[in-house]
Amino acid sequence: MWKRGPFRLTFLFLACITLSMFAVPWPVEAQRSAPEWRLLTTEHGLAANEVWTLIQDQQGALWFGTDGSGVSRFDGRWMTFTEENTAGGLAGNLVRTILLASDGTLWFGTSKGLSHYDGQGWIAWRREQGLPDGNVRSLLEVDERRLLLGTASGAFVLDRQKMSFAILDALSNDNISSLLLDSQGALWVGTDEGLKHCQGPEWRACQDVQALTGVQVNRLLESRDGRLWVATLDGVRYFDGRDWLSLPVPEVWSLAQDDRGFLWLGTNGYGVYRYDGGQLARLTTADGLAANNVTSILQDADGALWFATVGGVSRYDARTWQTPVRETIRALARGPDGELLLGSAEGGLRRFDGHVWHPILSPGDSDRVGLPSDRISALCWAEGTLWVGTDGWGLARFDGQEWEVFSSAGHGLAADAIFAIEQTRDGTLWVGTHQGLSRYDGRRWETLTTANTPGLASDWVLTFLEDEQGILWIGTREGVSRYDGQQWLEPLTRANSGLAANEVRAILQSDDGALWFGTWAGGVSRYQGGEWTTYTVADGLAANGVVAIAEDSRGGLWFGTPSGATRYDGRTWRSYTASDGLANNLVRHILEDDQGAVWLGTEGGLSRYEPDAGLPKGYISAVSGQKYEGQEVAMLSGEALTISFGGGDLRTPPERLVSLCYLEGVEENWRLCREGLVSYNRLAPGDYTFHLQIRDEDFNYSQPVILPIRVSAAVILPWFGQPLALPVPAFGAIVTIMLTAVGALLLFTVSRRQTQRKAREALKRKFNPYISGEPIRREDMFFGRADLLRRILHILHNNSIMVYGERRIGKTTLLYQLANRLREDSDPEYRFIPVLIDLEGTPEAALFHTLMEGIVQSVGALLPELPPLLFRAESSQEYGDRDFSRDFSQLLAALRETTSKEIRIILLMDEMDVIDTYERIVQVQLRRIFMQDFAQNLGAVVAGVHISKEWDRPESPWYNLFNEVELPPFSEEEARELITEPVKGIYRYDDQAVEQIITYGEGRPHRIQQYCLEAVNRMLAAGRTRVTLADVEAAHEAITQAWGELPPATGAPEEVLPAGKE
Amino acid sequence: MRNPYIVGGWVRGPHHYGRETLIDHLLHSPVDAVWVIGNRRMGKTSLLRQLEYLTLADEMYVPLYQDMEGCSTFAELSQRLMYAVEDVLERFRPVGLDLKELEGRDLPGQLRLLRQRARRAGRKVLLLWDEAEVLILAGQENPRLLASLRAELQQGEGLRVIMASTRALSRLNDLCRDWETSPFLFGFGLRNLFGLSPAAAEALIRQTQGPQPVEVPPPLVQEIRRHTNDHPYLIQYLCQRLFEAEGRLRPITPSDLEPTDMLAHFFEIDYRHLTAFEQAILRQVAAYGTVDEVALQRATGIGSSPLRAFLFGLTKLGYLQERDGGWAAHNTFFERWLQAHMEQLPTMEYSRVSERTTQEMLIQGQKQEAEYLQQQLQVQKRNLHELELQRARQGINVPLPLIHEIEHAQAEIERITQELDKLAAFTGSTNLSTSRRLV
Repeated sequence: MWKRGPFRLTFLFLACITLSMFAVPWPVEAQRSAPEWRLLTTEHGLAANEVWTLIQDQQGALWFGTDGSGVSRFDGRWMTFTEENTAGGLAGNLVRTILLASDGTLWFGTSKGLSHYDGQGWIAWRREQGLPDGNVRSLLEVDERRLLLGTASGAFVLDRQKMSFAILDALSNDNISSLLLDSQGALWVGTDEGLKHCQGPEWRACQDVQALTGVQVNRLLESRDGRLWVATLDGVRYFDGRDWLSLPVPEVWSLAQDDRGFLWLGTNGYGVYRYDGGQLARLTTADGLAANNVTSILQDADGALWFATVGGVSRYDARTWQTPVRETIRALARGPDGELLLGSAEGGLRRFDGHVWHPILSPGDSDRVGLPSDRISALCWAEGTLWVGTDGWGLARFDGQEWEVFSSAGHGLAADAIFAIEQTRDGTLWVGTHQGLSRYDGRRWETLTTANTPGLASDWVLTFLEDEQGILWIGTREGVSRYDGQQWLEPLTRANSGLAANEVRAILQSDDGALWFGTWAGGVSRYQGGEWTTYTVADGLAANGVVAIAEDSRGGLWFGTPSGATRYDGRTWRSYTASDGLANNLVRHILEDDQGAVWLGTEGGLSRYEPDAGLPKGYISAVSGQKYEGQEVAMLSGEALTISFGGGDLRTPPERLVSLCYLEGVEENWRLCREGLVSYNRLAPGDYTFHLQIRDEDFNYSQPVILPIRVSAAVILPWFGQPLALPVPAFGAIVTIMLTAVGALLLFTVSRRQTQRKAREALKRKFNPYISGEPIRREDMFFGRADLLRRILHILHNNSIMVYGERRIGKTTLLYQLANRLREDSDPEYRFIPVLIDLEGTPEAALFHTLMEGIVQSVGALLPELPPLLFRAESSQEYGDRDFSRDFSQLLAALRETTSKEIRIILLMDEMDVIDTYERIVQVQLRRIFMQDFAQNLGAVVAGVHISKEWDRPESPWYNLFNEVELPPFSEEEARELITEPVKGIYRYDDQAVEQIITYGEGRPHRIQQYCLEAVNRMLAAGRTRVTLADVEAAHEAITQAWGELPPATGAPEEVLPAGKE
Repeated sequence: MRNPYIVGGWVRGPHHYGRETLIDHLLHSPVDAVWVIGNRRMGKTSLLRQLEYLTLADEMYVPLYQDMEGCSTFAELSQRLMYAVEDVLERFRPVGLDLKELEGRDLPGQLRLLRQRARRAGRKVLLLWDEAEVLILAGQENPRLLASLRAELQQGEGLRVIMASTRALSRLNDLCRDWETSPFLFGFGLRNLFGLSPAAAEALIRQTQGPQPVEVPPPLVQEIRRHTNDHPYLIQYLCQRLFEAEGRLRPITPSDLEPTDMLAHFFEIDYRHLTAFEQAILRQVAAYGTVDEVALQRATGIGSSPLRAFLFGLTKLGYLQERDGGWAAHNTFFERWLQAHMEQLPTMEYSRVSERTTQEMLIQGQKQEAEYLQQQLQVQKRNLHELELQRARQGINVPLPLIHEIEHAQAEIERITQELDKLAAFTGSTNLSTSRRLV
């Protein structure tokens, strides 16, 4: 027997070398296809990326056992169970194996013991609970009563009724990695030293399998043909009934067989192999696998494969989208028995046998059998007769026995290039061409053109539909013609109907009787009951050119366009493109088969789409900032209601899920809810119900999530001179609440006294921290832009930035704050030197002088002595960009003497709009200084209202070196912070007062500060420490009077604002 | 970790990704006057700065980068050249140049002096001209000097000029339509500066040349590449937005793909550089997403042969891409811009360059592109041959780096072969692929 030692290592090394020598020509590399993969890692919610095992439970949820972080459960939403959060119910956080028992409960083998979870609670067995060895590596359900445990020191039987463990003597000293009970009742045991075969009652007789002696066995599998497969460190071995054979796959860790019979082999470092009985194909990280070390493999209920790896979990779905035919598809038809037929642009006809598309007429066969050409352009299969239109070679009929060809020359067909074929219920055949419409009654051909048929809108006849009333609708390039069997009706065009465009390429009557017209360039128009509705890209269509329409058995409509296929179910839209798995974005034909799969004939092949049936999951995570635990929400009228929600699905990533919601009692219908958040303000007292539904990519909708909300009327009571809002039904409990409040007050007396003392002192000295009309220089008074400031600081070491935003939105303040932060920055690599420059009033000729003046002031203190600069010698009018560059180089050289860090001088230029008044040449000169060799030492943040992007010189626009960043108005949250934070712990605001300032402030920081300043002044005048709604209203009156009428928050002309900036 | 992506500013050294083959060609091809054409933000300045950076210690080249921006006359160009030399005067000491000698000379005269001094010292000035569009303004002012400048630039010995601009520069040919000699740009090698190679794009996304690579899951890399179509500026632009302080990129949200005001202006300027025919093609793409050649022909009325020439140019310059058997906007940002401006597109100004010049330049570009690719194919095949020999000498102990080099060379050969096939499809000729197979 080989033990671990030099000889064995040498063999392994040689084996690896041998394998790698054959690695290139040997396995067939699987085709790379990103849409088939989905990666799940800790970023998504997995407890750890090192996953040892995975399983799907009877509810469809997936369970992942991790290497030290417990178990993660995923059913669209993540949940993690650990030893800690289950109070020891999970025996250990290193979970090696999970077993789904026949009763639907789960068993977990961990490094510290065994655990059981029945959906309600956890139970653990460790050594203390009688488990002989805590390191449980494999689990096997023998029957309803017995469970077999493989551990590092033998196998044990758990009697689930007695809850007792018994040792299996024949395996008492083995380090067991895997267990398998085969279909004959024999037990196979994989160990670190080989494979054992146990038979007899209670498997008392175990024998080593000689062929595998000394080989480390990782996993066992019995394939559906009864063959035993053994995953070992030396590859995969299998027994063919006589001999042990092997597949050339290195270091196999995991095994699984899918429902098509393919064997999947997960390896340690080589990815995953698929074995179809003949060939091996390999998938690796290059294809989309999370890591090449694959510890466990599972096929879920939807047929997708899951690979657990040491770098996360990958879901591989090669089933939802397939492309069985890679030819340009020109026609698709469904026969009377549901059988499918396709015609390709150059490859003749193919027929589908339920599994494979067979070329029934491949190139070259056509002449032999009688079809005039392989270039198929249209198909019609009705009443046992197949009609085949070709692209220039006429029309062929096959009656089940023989072919007959009709052409323009011999039979009077309008033209030989066929666009569309339709057989109406009266047996008449209609053929559309670019030279008119041909009609065939079984005996003779008749050609209809615009010349002889006034009802025909155009000679270009593109598509047909016979509706439920027997009216034939004919799509042409110039509108839709209609024929009721007796006479021609007036054609419908854009001019006389609601048709979106005249060129109509597809028509469909949906189950509800509505007619749908796919137009070229106008989108799709729906007609029902005299009403027209048009849907375009703006609604959700992939493109406005619609060339195919179909309805599926779930009531969904499909539209084929040049930019993909769009599905619409009356509620939501979704477009599928090549990035989803479609063979090509130009979709000409769509058809659903009897199994519910949708076939899409495209320019690049035939795609089959089999939607996944698993339902996504929706959930509400928080209501008005509080974690939501499933209870009814009670609130007071006037309070804002904010609902945070989310959704998940096994196949669809969260960002592609669609959320629908509505608040019953306020809204009448479902609507799209984005960003995982909805808000409602000022709900009147009453009962409401919030509904949420999540839709996945396959149009599966989650069970509706329902949130009952009760809004109570608020009563305003005087309370210590302040208004207090209380719910009406709770009025009787006021006394209790008051007593409780008194108690609470007593408890917090000390802190309250401190606060009151602060407030008294503040009141005495009329403390009012708000600033109006000036930029904020102090950091402790700067609120609401923390994220933006951080973002800018993170890129400023190698970027320049242009900040734009309306007047008085806080640009100057932002520049001041940036200067503060840059001065304090202690980056190990960069020495930032901020230079604040206000360009307002700077004459064009003095621009560069002004810039250098600012720089000299900022660096002066850093240098013991300034180098000789042209700036000193020349007048501001003479000083140009060239002089600036020379001086800058001098200063830079001097600064480099003072530090080993990279120097980065940042020009913080305010009122940059002034540059719009300069000559183009000056703008260009400004850019030029940033293009110099010293560009890495010079950056800028320029701020303006709307710096013009007009450019008429041939070279690059002056502004193209900047990153553009918008300074938007404050969000409600930011505004609230700006209102309350400056007086926190000193004064307080009534909620209504805050809300009113937010309303009046419209997100403009200067205006919010103005209101706060004024309201606090009113409060101080009244000797109070609490700002009330009345203070805010009084402030509003005062501000309005001062201004006349309040200027609009946006686009306020500069001249009506008070003096001073911001 | 600081955000490592650089948007707007030029880059060189480790910040410069890809373009190795082009750089090698620009430095070693026999053609001494090359015009690098690229759209705004495609990386022209960075390419020139990288060339300068790579040749700083070169024994043959004396690199001289000149930003021509802001010049409108030859006098100004001449002055700027002096400034450029003054800034790096130490580089010219080995060729014995005194700055004063440049004074009083016109631009061709200055170049002549530089060329002669360099040649005498057994060196060559590598003149890197950025923002070369200003030559249009200078040429309008003094056509005579434009003619002598062309003569000087194409002298070769002692001087290699690589000038970068947008295709607006082709207007120079209209200005000198009545010259007795060839138009200004004939005789220049044309090199299109388009997107990065897939490997370089991925490296840029992951910042593999930086001190700390960024963590980006493979599907996200592919998504970024798909939306940007390997456009270097757009990659940096998008990645900068996606970057999180922990050193990784977050997933893309739809708002990340909306062009900002500034990006929209760049697209507009690029759009205005197109001829009326080219704009008509883009309007079709805007309307239908993906349009095939037949539909384009029908909608625009452009004949098959010129249409292919236009499609070639639009693809090379980053306006279009081949998608699903048709033509689509080059990247998601541009696609959205086109769709959002559908109504304004017909009213936008178009290029003042004549259709004739545009077509001439495109045809010349195709020809030179084919020659360039053939040359690259030869180089790569020779390289592969050499590497295979090395591998054979190593027996079974082939070092991993050598295997990677061989794989890289094989991939390059495959890529160039595909490029040649595409080019053959554009020109409608089978000559290219035939000759390729004969190589």
